Amino acid sequence: MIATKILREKSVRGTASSLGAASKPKTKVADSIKHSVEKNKSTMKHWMNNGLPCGKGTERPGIIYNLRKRKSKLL
Amino acid sequence: MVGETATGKSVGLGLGCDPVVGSLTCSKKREYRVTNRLQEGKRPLYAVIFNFIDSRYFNVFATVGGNRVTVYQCLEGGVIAVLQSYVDEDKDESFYTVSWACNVDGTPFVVAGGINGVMRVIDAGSEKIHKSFVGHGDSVNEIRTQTLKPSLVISASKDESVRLWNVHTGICILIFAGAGGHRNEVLSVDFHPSDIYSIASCGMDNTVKIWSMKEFWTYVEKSFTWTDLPSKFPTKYVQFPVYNASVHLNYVDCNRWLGDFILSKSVDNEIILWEPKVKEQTPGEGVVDILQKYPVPECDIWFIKFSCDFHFNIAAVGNREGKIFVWELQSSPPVLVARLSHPQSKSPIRQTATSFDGSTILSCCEDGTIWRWDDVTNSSD
Repeated sequence: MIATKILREKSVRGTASSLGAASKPKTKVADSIKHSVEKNKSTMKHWMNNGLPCGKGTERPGIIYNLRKRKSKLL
Repeated sequence: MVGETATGKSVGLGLGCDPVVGSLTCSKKREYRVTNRLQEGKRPLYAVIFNFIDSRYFNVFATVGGNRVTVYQCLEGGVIAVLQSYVDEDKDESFYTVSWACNVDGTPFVVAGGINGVMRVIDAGSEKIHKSFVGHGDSVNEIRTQTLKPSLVISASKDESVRLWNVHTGICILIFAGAGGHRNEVLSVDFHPSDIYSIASCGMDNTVKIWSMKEFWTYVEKSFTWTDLPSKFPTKYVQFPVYNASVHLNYVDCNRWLGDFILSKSVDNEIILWEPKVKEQTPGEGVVDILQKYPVPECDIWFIKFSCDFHFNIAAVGNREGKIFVWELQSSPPVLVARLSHPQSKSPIRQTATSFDGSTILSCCEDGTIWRWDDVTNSSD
């Protein structure tokens, strides 16, 4: 346990520097970004609709909590 | 060394090259027009956010400034309707951040925090305070909601900690702080878009840290069924991040996941996109692979936060002169699709909010104004 703690403490002290970091082929940057976003998107499920929410032009579901009709006392 | 094409744009030259830097020559791919401007008050507005949690409310946004939380709706033709407004009982409260969340039954919540360190959870359905979260020892600088489980919110604080909360039960589940934690104010935090266990945080210690709550997930699940007092819940400390790196040389005031990459901003007039890579030999220590940079002129003051549309196609960021830069995120080299400015917009823009599809960009300003910009690229008028 003590050894683990020492190891962890040691590991966080040696912060990596960004200077000189450039290992990825930059010509593939755009593809990498798109791939990373798409990969995460395909596994991202909107909790309520069980899928990605609708976008522009798609008919939206009716509002259950019609916020506008309820007048706040503060208004 | 970075080569330049005839158009003046920077391009990468292959393996081992410097990060690609976006050109400030605007491509004008999109044309935005001011469609509304609101003067909410005289106190600074520090945060504005669209509701991406519930698709029924994609055109609803919230702002915070002073001791007030206001909910608006974007309507056709640039109209902005005030729906609700909440005033904190403490006149000295100054809210710095706001986020949308949900109760387990889908009730929309607005969660706000600020200088007092107390987080207010407002039930927007019943227009009442649902709960108040007491725990942070100082200001709350950012609140974000787990979109995969939107009863979970996370807060970043001046007390150098990040806390995970369950808005349904009011429980503080986890505290990310300690031996491996931040050494100064935590200014920003974000949930990973698909890895439910991962968060990224950054702050005044110039570092970005990635934390995993995987080994504490049983406590997260327990928080949903906890029926005893929240103070009796066995809140756990997460002392060591799985990754730590210094990407910037100064305060890091905003970080967002872009897939498995991270967008982060300091006070160096740019947003950086980079990939965190963990060293196998030394867990917790990381290597930074900077992919590209998005310049933002006159953005050398801290607490200016950028926003992305839901699909991460664009990012909008303001500066201290009231201008907004809209960058295309997924292209390389980065493309500046629009530069938004107006003669009357001269105050620092503390935060932007980009709508679901990027068709509307909102900005909240130091002078208490809210500006609405709408995409008119395909408009016939």
